[in-house]
Amino acid sequence: MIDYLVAISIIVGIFAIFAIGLNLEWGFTGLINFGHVGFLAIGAYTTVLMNLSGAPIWLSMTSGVVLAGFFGLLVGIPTLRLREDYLAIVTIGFSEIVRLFLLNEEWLTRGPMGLFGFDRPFEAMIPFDYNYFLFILVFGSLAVIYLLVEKLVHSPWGRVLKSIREDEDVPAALGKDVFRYKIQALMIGSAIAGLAGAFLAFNMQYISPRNFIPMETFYAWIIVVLGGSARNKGTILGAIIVQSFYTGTRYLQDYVPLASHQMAALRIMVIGLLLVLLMMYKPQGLLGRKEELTLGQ
Amino acid sequence: MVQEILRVRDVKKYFGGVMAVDGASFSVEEQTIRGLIGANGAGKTTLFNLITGYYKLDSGKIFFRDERVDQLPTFKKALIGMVRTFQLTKALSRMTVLENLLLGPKMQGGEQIHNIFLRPKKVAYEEAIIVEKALEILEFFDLMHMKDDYAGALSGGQKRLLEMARALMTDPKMLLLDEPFAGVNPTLARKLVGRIKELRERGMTFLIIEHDIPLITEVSDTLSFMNHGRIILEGPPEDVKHDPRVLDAYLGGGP
Ligand SMILES: Nc1ncnc2c1ncn2[C@@H]1O[C@H](COP(=O)(O)OP(=O)(O)OP(=O)(O)O)[C@@H](O)[C@H]1O
Ligand SMILES: [Mg+2]
Repeated sequence: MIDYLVAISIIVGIFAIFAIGLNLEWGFTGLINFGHVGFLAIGAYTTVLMNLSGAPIWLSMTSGVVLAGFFGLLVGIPTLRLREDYLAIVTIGFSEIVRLFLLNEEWLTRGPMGLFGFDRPFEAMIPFDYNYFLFILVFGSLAVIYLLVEKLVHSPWGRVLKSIREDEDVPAALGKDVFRYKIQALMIGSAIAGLAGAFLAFNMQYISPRNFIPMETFYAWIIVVLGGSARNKGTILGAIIVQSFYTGTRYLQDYVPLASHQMAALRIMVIGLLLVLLMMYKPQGLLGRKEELTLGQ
Repeated sequence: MVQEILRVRDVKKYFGGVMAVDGASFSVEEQTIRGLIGANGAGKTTLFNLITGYYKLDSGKIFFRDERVDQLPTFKKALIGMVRTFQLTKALSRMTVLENLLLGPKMQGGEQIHNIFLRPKKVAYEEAIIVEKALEILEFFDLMHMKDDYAGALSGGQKRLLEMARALMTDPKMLLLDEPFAGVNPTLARKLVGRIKELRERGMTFLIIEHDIPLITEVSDTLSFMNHGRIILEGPPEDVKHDPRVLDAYLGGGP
């Protein structure tokens, strides 16, 4: 039972990290990133590929984080000077390109067969169940990421991000280089997704392009919106709820006469229904502030 | 010798077939208050958008302190001291009134990520100074009691005050105000006029669009009249406001 809880918690932690990255982009800066999973994939594959070709796991992981951030820069440069909808379109295309690249460049990624047999941090040194260690590692990282992001968003830097979210004409009129701040937010958010990707690989011990479908991006969005955007605590709460629901319904699988693909469809329908109910009764999200909704521009 | 701070030369801007600004030229001398009047749709706000870089010029040149600035992005113009307010007020709704003001000061150390972690003391110290200044300005603008409310909750007139208060936080050399008195109660409007004159004494230059003729006459040193995208008249406020073309635009309801 404890083992099971630990296993679920690790997934919750990974998704919380992943979604905090998105919350920085969307919740605080107003950037619409529909391709967040692409950065998760870059983090996971870079970590695994580098390790498989001989690099130590810590270096591989750091490279995954840095490369995910760097791709944030590459995607941001052509799109962030334009109005917000361009970022949405380009990121969704970007994440699919990443996935198709991973699927088709078999010389590098073994395509649909996926990758396994890579190291995990300190694996050889842990005398107890590795999952306990991974649990500590993931939640330690979540705590650090949470504190860093909180520190950033409550600084003058974070104030500029919020002003961009509200109306970017204002910070521009006051002498802020809006483009630079948006790039920074996207890079940091993407690097955080990259870190989540490395943990995802450690947790599954196997990665394939199937793990990086667009649906993962939308889980992150659901988590952020459910928790209340621009509320990092809400994001963590959202991750707990969404993941418990996801795992809970998998349990249910054993008791209902539905095929697994039918169950998957049903699960998405129920999530949709829950979101509709949320929008009706608590549109600001669970930890969001109600007053914000009634404000005019 | 009077020094020009802003020089606009033959600036044009078309929207499709509409000539919003059609060869406007004028200069503003340093440490003066310039009023800009003209009928609705004369092109005043568009001219502001051109001067501050929100729109690209179709042709013409703009100089700020003898430096050509028409290709500079908006934020760089703000950094060299040219700051504007918006006719359609832009309160940052989901930020508090105080936060709106704290955003103002240029080049804050805490706006750079490395300083937040490496020089937290310096950032905190700077922030304390900024807060103090913001509170003083809020007091003047009668917004103190709202400082912790969301800016989106302000009334129309209060949002207008917030616009100006926020712009003042940047310590601009030149402030471009787009209808700063619209919707502001007369007592406070007079008080603002006093403050603007006081800031002028301290070295600031103003370009003010305003439809309230008595107020703009009172505050301006010189008045410019814009009609169909051009500045067609300029001079002492008393002369300009009695010119038949101005009377016609304001009373006659157009040509
Ligand atoms: N973004 C735009 N797209 C198309 N037309 C525009 C745009 N901005 C302004 N115009 C047009 O340019 C002309 C001048 O508008 P502008 O807003 O500059 O007038 P104004 O002098 O500020 O008027 P008011 O006193 O009513 O504020 C108008 O005919 C307007 O319709
Ligand atoms: Mg106007």
